[in-house]
Amino acid sequence: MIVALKDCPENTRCELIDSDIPDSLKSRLMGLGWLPGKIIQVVRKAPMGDPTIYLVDSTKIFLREEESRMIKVKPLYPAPLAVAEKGKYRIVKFFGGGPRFTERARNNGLFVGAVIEVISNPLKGKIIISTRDGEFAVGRGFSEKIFVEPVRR
Amino acid sequence: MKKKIKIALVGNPNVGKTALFNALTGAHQYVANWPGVTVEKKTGKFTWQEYEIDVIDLPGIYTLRARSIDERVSRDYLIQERPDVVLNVVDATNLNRNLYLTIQLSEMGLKTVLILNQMDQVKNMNIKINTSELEKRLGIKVVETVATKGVNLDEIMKAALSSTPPVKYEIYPTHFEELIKKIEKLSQETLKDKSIPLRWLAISFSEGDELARKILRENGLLEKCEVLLSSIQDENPSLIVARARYNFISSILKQIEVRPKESWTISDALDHVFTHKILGIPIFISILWMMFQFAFSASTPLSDLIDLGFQALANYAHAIPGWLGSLIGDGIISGVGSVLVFVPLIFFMFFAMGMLEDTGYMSRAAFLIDRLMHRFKLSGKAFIPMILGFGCNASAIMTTRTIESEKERIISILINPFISCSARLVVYAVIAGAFFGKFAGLAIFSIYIVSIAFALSMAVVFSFLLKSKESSPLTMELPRYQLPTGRGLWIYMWSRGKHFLKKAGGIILGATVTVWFLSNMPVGASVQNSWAADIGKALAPLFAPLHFDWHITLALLFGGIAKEVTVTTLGTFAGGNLPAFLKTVLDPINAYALMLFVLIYIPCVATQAVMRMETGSYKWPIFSVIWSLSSAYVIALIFEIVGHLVVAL
Repeated sequence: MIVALKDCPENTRCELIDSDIPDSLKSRLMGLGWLPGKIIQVVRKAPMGDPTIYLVDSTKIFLREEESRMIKVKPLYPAPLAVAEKGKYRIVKFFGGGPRFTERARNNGLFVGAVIEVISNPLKGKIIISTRDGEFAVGRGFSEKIFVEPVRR
Repeated sequence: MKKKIKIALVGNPNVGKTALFNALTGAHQYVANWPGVTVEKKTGKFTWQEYEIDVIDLPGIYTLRARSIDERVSRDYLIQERPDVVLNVVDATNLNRNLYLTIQLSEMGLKTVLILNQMDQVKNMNIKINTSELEKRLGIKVVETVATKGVNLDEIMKAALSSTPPVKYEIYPTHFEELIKKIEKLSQETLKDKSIPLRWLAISFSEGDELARKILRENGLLEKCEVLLSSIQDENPSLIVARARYNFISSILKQIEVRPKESWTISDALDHVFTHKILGIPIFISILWMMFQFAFSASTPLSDLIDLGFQALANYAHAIPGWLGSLIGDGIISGVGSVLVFVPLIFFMFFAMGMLEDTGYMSRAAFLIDRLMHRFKLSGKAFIPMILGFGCNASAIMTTRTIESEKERIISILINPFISCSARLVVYAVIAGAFFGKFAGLAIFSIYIVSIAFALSMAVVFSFLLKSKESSPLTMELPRYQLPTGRGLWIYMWSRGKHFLKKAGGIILGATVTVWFLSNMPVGASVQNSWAADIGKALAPLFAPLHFDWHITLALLFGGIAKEVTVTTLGTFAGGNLPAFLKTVLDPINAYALMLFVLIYIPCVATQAVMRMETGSYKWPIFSVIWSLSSAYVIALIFEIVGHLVVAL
């Protein structure tokens, strides 16, 4: 699924597809190694959610949401549930979130190795998923910490 | 007769160009571990064997496509001045990114020597670089250095003077190379200015560069070239160019560089804490507070010592009979002395700031508070001049050149004087010391908080007045953390602190003598009847609502020259005991109002001059003076009225 860079949570790795940013900024980003096909790692969001530090080619830079919303990327799996499109996935790991988080997840049928299905993901608001325990909605904060990988048939 | 050559230092921001400049010329230019410190070109000279060498340190750039003023400075210099040799300084730990500019330099037809800087870091990170192979593949000389620890001058100069054939990397797809050749041929025939590098012109044009387009337009070639360019239909030309460059770089790097697998470095670990969602901002505030505490506590004993010294000197001077004793004792020693007492404070302040900058923490701080700045219609880039403003507004205003949006730049320039510079610290220290006893530190800290709050709110007001909507897009690099070097800190502290000493010996001394003269004229008159009193009393009614008497009025008037003069002027009236004198003319509420007034009232003469220079018009400094004077008046007045009401209750 192609998403805006700004929608990628921390620790996502994604491939740069294209950007609609002004030409001048684009050329500076190119000078920093930001070319289509390059892998961008989302390192950290600032305390108020913006800007975000990204890592490309061992150089860390930070960008604001105004720019990162115009940059299109393809998340690489394992990716956070937050950017997963419709389909079946296996949970690979949890990122961040303490033992209480994992326990809460487990109670909802979410644990490492579990297979889940994303019913709908509007990239804003809640994601509808179904597990063996049934269908339910997960919040964005929650979905950013669960890393999944598509299940191939 | 020595042979003259021009050498330019070019490279990405924060790779150590200025450190190399210092190492080459023995100069003490200020460097820091964050991008955008050098915003204008600096020149230096040195001689080597029979050569006399002009070195030019250019602002850091990622590409030769120019957006902001500092980038334009670099590009225009390279195209118009054509240095004999370019030392392309690169961060050897990050060749992939740095060599991009190297390719562009070769397209400009400039003779380039590659300086692999930060080789110590390369060793630390276990990266292996085969320098001689790199030299072979690029076709240019390559020299390894650690510029912060000094350089091997012979090696660099031999490389710079060696006659290597010009290099040309034909790295673009065939049909694109043909296009370049066609444009080159066209322009070779028609271009009036023969010094313009044709390959650069052709490639930059296809990337959409404005300067290249302008040159072609002036020579009536733009339309023809656009027709040629439109024949390439497959992809965005600037993308073809960038990709070809990176492919070329990675094909070289595969052969010459071995990198260990990326692992969790100390830098990453530090970032984890310093940019933490919850801890980041409290840590930032504690660091600032520690900086103040450190500077004040560490400097106090030294300041007391200097104070004692000046008192003793003044006593000796008073022994000289007649007007000379008075000039030296009351004028020069108590006047200038009252400022010099704060030299340790200023130096320790710069020392602390140098620590923060050299370690690389500053760009993290910019990251943490960017959101907040954004709310005040500023970008994280505007944050840099603000922080530097705590040192000196005049030099801080120059660093606004990194801001791309012109309106945002004007706003940053206008709010900078509200950031309390180190000269004003002297005034607060005297007033707070006299009135607030053990709460002096807190009183001063509160002034700094007011300073930041006022500057930010003025940013909102100005951006409303200027109808500035856009704030520049922000791409700031986070450099690796590094340990500051003693040498680096010393250069930082000295290059900025000496400015203060120079001022004390020059403009402040001059102003002090003038004030002494005015307050002792006509001959034989007491201070109450002197010319100074006449001037002060004439203006005093204006300040009567603020309860500033004529001494204060006159001090503020002269303080416009340089803020420290406020203190020296009062010093000449005080007859040796400034705190006691201040208590006779002010009450604590007036005193705090005076601190507020001094914070805001007018940018000093030097700052006004820089404002004029940077905006290219008298309009802005005049606006700034009127605006700040009236806001200072209103704020001090409100504080006094409210303060006295509260006390009366």
